[in-house]
Amino acid sequence: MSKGYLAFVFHAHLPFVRHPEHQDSLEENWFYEALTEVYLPWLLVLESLVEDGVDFRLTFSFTPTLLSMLLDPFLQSRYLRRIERLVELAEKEIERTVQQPEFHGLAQLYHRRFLDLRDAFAYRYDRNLVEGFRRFQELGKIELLGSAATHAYLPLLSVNPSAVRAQVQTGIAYGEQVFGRRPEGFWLPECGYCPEVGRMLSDEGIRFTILESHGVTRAEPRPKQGVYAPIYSPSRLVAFGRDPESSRQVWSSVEGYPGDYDYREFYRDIAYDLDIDYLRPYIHRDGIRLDTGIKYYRVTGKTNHKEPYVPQRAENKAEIHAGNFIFNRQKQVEYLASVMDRKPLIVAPYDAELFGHWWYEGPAWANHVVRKLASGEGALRLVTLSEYLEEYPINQVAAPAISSWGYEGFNDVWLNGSNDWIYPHLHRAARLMEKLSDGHSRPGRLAERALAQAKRELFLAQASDWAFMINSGAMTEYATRRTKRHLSRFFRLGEQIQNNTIDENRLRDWEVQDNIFSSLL
Amino acid sequence: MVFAEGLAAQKHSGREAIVEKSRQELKQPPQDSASHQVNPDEAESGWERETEEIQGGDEETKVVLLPVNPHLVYVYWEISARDLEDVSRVFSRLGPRARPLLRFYDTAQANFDSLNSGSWFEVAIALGAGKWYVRLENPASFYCVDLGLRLADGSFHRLARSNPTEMPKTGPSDKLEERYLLVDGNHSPAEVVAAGEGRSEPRSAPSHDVTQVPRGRSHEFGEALRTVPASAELQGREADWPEHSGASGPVLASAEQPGEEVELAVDLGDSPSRLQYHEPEGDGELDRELGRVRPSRAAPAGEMERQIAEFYQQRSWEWVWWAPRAQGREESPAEPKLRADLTELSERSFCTGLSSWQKSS
Repeated sequence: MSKGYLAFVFHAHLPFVRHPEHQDSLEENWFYEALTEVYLPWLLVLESLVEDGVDFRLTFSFTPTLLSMLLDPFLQSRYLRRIERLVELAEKEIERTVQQPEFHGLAQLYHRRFLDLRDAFAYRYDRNLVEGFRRFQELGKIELLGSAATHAYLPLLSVNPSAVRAQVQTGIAYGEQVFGRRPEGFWLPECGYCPEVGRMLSDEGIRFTILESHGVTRAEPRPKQGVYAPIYSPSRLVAFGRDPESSRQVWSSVEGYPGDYDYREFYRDIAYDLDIDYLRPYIHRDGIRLDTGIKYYRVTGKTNHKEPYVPQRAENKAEIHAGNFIFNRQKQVEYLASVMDRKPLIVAPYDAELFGHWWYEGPAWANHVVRKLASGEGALRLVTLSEYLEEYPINQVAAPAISSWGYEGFNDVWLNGSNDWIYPHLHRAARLMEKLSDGHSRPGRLAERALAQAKRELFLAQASDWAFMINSGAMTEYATRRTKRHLSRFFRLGEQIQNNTIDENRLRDWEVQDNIFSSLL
Repeated sequence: MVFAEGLAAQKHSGREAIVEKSRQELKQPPQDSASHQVNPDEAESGWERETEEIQGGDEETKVVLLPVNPHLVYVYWEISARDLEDVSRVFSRLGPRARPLLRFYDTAQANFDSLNSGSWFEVAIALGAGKWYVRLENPASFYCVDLGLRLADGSFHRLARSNPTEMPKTGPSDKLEERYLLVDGNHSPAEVVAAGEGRSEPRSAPSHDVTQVPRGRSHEFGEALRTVPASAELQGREADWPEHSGASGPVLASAEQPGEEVELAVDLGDSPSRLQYHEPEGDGELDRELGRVRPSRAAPAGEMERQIAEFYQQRSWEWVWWAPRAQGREESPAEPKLRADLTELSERSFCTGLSSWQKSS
């Protein structure tokens, strides 16, 4: 019998990066890499668990921007070309490394891997990975959470309640349309919480959300059970708190598992080691070196010296780390159970993209954890958050605290001297959107299309990713351009709608380019 | 957004240099976007480069208050053309005797609708800046801000009032009230009374909100307040974060040196330090490491288990040791479990920004 519960929550998100106007896009490559290294491997792990009769419960959230890209035929088609090019590159690598036994076997492995992924994408899932995940929801193996429409950082939009409501409503509606089920839980982008956002979720019928640890520990009044049991907000929203220990054990760049010396080195891709003429067909068409996904080295140590990657050693280490993770959770739960009046719950949320992309062995580690727990190791049971609430519907009432899971735990990442210029525009745009939508809409199909496109542009401008990138100093130019582009289009559309001067040709271009939620708006 | 984080991390990894080299090979200027190679067909069909000018929206005087963290707020304002004319007239008439200000009200609650706030303070600003950061070293719970001018006679002329804003908290609440609610799909929400360990019993259920946010304390603002214009570089804030004791740190399977077998590092030192990966550097280092309790290389699984269990035995004791006494009551020897303050435990092991692998580096 289990002494406690463990709830894994994997949050999958990418910003909407879709550039039909370019023959080759650096930013779209984020999506293609994630397909190869994260989403397809996750699906294959889930498939193997079901095929082997393993009993498990996991929670996933897919943001509507990511879902929209996963379902986009244009991006699907481009990805298929991309993975086929990788198969071809791996074939060339097999030939090139024939005199290098330490790499030759790896090249063969990559070749097989890319072939498997291509076949899974093209044939097993018929390019539709969303349907793959939906199947596991139907089987009761995973619970899917809703999320905001374009991963907006909601606390900084809450001065315009209509903006938050639109993000929440559209995000829920799109998730329901795609997965066929209205979600009970909602993933707050960046775990960004403030009371206004909590009330909005309750108003929309959301039952629970997940907060960074201090969102619960600093609740008012003081929660008796820390983060090891949820609390009810005054508006009846259930707030689960993130367990700091299990977060650190995986996430910390100092202590976390992914830094183990046997794991694959993220930064040593052949794209940066080999001659550019050899690589040219497989990187950006302008010759900019992009990750190919073929990496021959392991972390090895803290210096630049890297030893060849040995898959079996990495696999063994993933299993050891899985056992270690369970052992720690078991000890944690044993202690907590001794001082709590119920079975403790460990909530362990992670960015899904860590698993497979940054941490190549991450899906294997998760696979081992799930299998070990299912076999009875650790006296812990995996649950979904809904299941937990079924068993424990009585919880303490406390108002969750303002919080996020970003650096410093509040709004610092998305609001500072580098990116604060965004918010006056976003707030002004939200006020204009209220006017445009307030029931006095201009009649006619063209005006409806323009209003729908204005909503899309505003949603895209509200994505927290742009402020995040500007703050980090990476991709600043791109993030700035995206913010300005969507705001500019929004205000131009707003003006045209108000003045009844809609430029249909331009509208059509924008509808094709920024086509997010075209099935909904 | 881990993919973008990866790009940030490149700056520290050396890969940026490689990318840069690649660009030099191509004799192309560095750029971080797919801003080139527009499909000629698409270009002909009407794709355009946009001006990226952002124009439009309303023309009202606005001031907006946003919290950054418990000790810093951001205020921005927009002044309508009409108000700007008025302000210009006042300035030309009074000169420096008219001072643009942000007046902060400690509103103590969100539904602030009166000027009769318990306390307020003012921050001088440059009206043309359009935005201002204000550092608050002893913040209240709620604030509301007026943008306005203080005139020569001491009167305050308000241009706009901000949204009321709740400030983030710096630590757990001292309020220990326990009220419970039963919420399930089959019944209306019902308040319940805790009835001892493991049991809670429903009672008649008020459907209204049951938690009151406490009224903020009065503060002496004076020197406890510092402000910075939005254009200034922000320094690290001076919040008192809880000490990050590692007493709850996990046991970690240690990273390996080339050729080593798996080993487990267990630290039972005099302080509850967090266990970390470490790299023994030769036998001398290893010997020094043995000053701590540490299993031998390739320790048998049973021994490893024993030593880990030993660590946890100590750790669980430390968890209890951390816990403050239950407030307002004498602790009896029969109630050791009450000493476990799980909120304190969670706070102590909490580390901000661990949302991704790279963000914490």
